[in-house]
Amino acid sequence: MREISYRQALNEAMEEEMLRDPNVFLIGEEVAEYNGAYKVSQGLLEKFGPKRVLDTPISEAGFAGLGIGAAMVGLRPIVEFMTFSFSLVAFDQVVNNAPNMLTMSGGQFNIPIVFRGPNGPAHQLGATHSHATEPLYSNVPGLKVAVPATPRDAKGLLKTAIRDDNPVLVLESELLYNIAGPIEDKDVELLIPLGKAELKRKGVDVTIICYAQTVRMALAAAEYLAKQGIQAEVLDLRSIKPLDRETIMSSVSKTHRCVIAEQNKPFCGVGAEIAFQLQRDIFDELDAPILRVAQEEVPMPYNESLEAAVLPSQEKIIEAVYQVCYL
Amino acid sequence: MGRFDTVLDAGSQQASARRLDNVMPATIPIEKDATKLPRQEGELHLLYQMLLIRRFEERASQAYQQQKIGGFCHLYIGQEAVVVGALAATRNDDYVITAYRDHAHAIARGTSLNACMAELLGKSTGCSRGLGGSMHFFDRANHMYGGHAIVGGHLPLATGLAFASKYRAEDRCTLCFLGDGALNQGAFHEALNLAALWKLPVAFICENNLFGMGTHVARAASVKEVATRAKGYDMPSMIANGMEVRHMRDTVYTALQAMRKRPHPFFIEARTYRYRGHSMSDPATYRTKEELEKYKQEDPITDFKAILLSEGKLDETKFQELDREAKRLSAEAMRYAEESPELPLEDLHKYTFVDGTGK
Amino acid sequence: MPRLSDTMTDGVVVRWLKKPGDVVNMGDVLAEIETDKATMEMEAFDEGVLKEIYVQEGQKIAVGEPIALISGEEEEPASPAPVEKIHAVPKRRIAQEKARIPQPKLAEVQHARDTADVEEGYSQAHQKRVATAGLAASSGAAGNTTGGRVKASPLARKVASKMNLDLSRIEGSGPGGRIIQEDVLAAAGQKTVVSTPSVVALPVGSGAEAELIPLTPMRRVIAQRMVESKSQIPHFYLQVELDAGPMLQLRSQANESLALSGGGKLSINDFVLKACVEALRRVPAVNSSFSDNAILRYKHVHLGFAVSLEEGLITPIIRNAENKSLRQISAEAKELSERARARKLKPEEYQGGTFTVSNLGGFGIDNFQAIINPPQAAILAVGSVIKKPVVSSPDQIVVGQRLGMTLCCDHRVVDGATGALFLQELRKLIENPTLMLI
Repeated sequence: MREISYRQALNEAMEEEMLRDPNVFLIGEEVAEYNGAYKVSQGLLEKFGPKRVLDTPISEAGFAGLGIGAAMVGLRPIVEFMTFSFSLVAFDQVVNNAPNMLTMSGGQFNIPIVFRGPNGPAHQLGATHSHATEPLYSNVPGLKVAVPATPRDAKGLLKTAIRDDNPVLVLESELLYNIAGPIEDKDVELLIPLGKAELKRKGVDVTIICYAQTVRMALAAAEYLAKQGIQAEVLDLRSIKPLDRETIMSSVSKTHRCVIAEQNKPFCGVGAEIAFQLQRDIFDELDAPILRVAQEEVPMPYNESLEAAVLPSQEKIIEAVYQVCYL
Repeated sequence: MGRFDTVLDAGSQQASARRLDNVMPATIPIEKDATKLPRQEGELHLLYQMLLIRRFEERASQAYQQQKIGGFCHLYIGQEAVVVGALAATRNDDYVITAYRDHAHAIARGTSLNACMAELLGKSTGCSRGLGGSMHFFDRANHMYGGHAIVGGHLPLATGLAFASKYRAEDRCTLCFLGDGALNQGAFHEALNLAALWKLPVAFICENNLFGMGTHVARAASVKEVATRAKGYDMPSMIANGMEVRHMRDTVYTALQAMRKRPHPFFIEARTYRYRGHSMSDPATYRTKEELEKYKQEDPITDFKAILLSEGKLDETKFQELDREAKRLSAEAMRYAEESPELPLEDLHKYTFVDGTGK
Repeated sequence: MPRLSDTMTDGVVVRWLKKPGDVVNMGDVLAEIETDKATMEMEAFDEGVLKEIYVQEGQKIAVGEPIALISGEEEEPASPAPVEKIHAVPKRRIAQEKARIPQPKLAEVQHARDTADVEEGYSQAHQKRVATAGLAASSGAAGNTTGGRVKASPLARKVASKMNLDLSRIEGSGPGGRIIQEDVLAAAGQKTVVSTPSVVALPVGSGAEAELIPLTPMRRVIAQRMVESKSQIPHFYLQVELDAGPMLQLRSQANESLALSGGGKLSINDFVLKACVEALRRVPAVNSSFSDNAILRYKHVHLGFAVSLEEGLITPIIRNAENKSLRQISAEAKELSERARARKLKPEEYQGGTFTVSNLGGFGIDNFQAIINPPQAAILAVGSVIKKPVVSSPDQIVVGQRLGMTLCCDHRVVDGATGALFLQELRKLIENPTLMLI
């Protein structure tokens, strides 16, 4: 085992898949000569040349659609959005064209494409650049949505996404790019299936469901709670779609209490769906109402302390755990 | 700079009452020698294809009114020469993609009337298994890449198809049909810019039938001549008489020949007219009956028939034979569609994802 | 009546443009029809002669109903005899085939299934509700009911139903009196004691009758930490018996004067706690922890003392006890115990101790061994004061007030001699209690 950064993990995933399959190429703003706005594509232009690593104009609808068109005839594009906040100007392409094509064509045209890039709030970027888009895209049949929280998951999920024959969104996080974590050696083929959650920490008193940015918060909260005798189970979804219902249900059936820590707005959010499924499937196992820790329902303020108040946090998770444990 | 990098002015010509008399080659002279056409199967075939499309759509119109067809139904009647001419200039492996007035494109590409009618009736034997409907015709085997119902949304896809040709160093071209309504969508500009920037072999064929739904192009586009839009992207352009099948064919053929030699996009404005409303529920009150009648005088089928008769390539008996066959196939397609089964309920989730789990 | 708009359900014939007897060609406008959206032209679908008009101008009729009859012509004008008869149009009506055999549409089938699911779900829920209501009604007891409805978590309901317990007799400890699982288990515990004590007494074996009592979070933590301690820490035990006489004497004197001044009474345990603090100050090696790379010797004494509760035990902490007087320690211990029994301790009030005292004297235990509370290095187990014959220094047998205690040590941190040294200091303090007042 070695340690690499989340950024490096994504870079390795793309490099390995581009070496393996000549149909894989990377397009996006600043991915080539600039080496990526967040340096995720560092060195790929040098390795694969301008045919396979292409800088695009600032034209999200154009290059997202171009990727989908190329995927219709068997290429496997990786489309980088500088941030998923910018994917909103390509919404028609991502929502209408990529996921609908297979059904609309009666199964004739699948779209093997990956849309990836940082998603969710970063730090003081204000309302337009802080969107957590996972509930928007998870609401669309035909799209898969991966939300890795660790370098290992980032690499394993991105590699799987590139090999998937369907459109997959890999929602990364600017706040996670620098974090380091253990990962298998480079010669190990690391593929993590979509739709498999992972217990990042075992516990018996409460399940904290989390993903992407909230995983670290949940783990810190669990650490703190353990000192007080509360053994929290930390369940990292890793993919929102497909959703690993089995693991969610078995964990909450064991703990009987659940807190969902999500990075998006709560209304019609990821947590709302999970809470619904929990009450539908294991109503009789719940000993407390399910609580969510999410963003406040406001456009993201720029001011630092106000932003902090909007975001989910370790403290908010702990407070929610107290509540579901009747403490 | 080669000659296709030079963009000539599309001209300031006003669309006159008989605007189609005034069709001018905007930037590129049209190749007169069409004998090299890859799909030169005799010009009777062009006439026959136009008849097939018209008779098919007349049946479709009837079926819609009889409630056999649901949703929206946009008819192509009047514009037949555009697609038949353009596709006569293509190779079988060229990529074809279009917007939602797409029945004609599939038929001209070789999709059977049976599969087209079954699609309109939502049957599992339809070209999109009844999952697409009128606006979403797809036919992989005939390189028909849809049938896209968001105005302008398919133009970036077309650049992607052309990108794939270039990526694989193939000389396949992409024909992207669009309506004049798409000219003012953001995706139009993004797609044309990318295509020109990366020199992608895609021909954008704007079927200018004067109306984006009920709004005249003059009330929607800031330019007098739509072909001038191409200028902004250093893209060569041509204007074709979309009511004249030979002119369409030769114009598109000229463009494709150039594109195959050296990948580059093209913009072609095909001036045409639709007889029917925007969709079945549109009474088309935004235009006069006189205007409609005037264009009907330039009917692509009647005109081409007259030309062929005068050239001695066709007689009335042969014409009736072709027309009857077109009607018979359309009626047969309706019978086939009605007798076809619907997709079984258990297949509902089958096409959401490739693995067929629907999860 | 043709459908001339995607939303129209009926139409009005505004005007007929052909009259009976007219020849009609395909595409000819037959009539103008007013739909819900606009006035549309209705074209003929086929050639023929308009035979009859069924719907007069101004009349409204549903889509699909016949409005006129066109009869087909057998002859195709200007047409040679066809090879096959492909265009013979029989007598037919416009908008024929109106009665298409209704096939179930996908959506309808789906709807039917949904409905079935819902109804099935409803009937199950309904049965359960009836069952619950019956339970409540049969009991008739006042409990956690608001207007006849028992508030309980879904899990509590399930557990209660399994144990055949009446929820309306159980008091809820959750918000708004909600019964949660713990409440049901507590109620089950009482029931066991009162009505079926034999269940508990039965030896456990295969087929033995036993009641399943799910673990509470506290019980689980105790279980986990005790197993961890006993399996990972090499315990050894040093047992002593001290003369508690002087301490008892000082205590009764002190309590007399405290009673006059309105102060709280001092307990034997208060003296033991104070003595431990002093002894730990003198032998700091015992106020330590074992860690992977080092031994942590604490600067302050955070003294824990065990308080037993119904569901387990908890050890409140007297922080920085080395700076506190006997009276302060006594007052703090009393206050912490009360709040511990009320389950109102904050986490920092029972976490982070450096040494623990466990006193079972009040339960009549002479002397016992305790399990160390990790990561501490030792725990002092204190028994009760017992009068017994003692051989005094001139070899005389006298009545002694003896206090038994055992120091349980982690041998990785505390050796036998170190533990003995601590107990020596403790003995000095307990047997000369005025030292504690200095």
